[in-house]
Amino acid sequence: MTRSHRDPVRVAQRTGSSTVYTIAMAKRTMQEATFLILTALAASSQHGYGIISDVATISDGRVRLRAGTLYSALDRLRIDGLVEVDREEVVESRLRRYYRLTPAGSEQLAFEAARLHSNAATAFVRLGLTGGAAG
Amino acid sequence: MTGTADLEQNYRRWLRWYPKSFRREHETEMLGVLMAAARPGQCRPAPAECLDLVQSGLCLRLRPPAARTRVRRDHQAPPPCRDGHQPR
Repeated sequence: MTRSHRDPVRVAQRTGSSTVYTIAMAKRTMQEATFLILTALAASSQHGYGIISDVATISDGRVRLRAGTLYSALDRLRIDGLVEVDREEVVESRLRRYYRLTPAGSEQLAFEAARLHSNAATAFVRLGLTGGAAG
Repeated sequence: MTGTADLEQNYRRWLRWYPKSFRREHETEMLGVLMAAARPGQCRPAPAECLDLVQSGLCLRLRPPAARTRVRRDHQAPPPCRDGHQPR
């Protein structure tokens, strides 16, 4: 993850250039489920069911992750170096594996949050709802 | 208790759609999550859950084995899986 050392948020803010965004983000827009999983892990490590519950809370019940979807996303995020295993526990004879964000994961989440924030701000401005409060 | 055991057995069957290597590492953990998310008295997986397990399992099977250890380069991205991630 050589690009993780560049701090894409600061680079993009400094230059205001969309090409920098393209290079830094490797041409991929993060899917909502992935964004919410990373957000769920941003404050502290969580196990699988904890992530599912937290994603439902964060999204006001709109996104209900299923186990299959969660674990293929986690597998991918681990391969990409954005998430890692924090610890394992056995609760009622079942394995619980806790996941946490890596520094690269925090960076990527911050970048994506800044991108969404900027897009939303533009949308509000163009709708004549400056200040960000709809209604 | 029989209902719980049946449900777990059922989930275990559906998890066979996943590659063996993945199951070795995650089966117990995933079973815990599936059982924690189950409704009281549920003895069969919901159709949507089965579909989710089949799709995610197939997606992992179709991913080239080398991809599981390679650091992402992202130049030629194949079509995304339904979780929004790119299979490699």
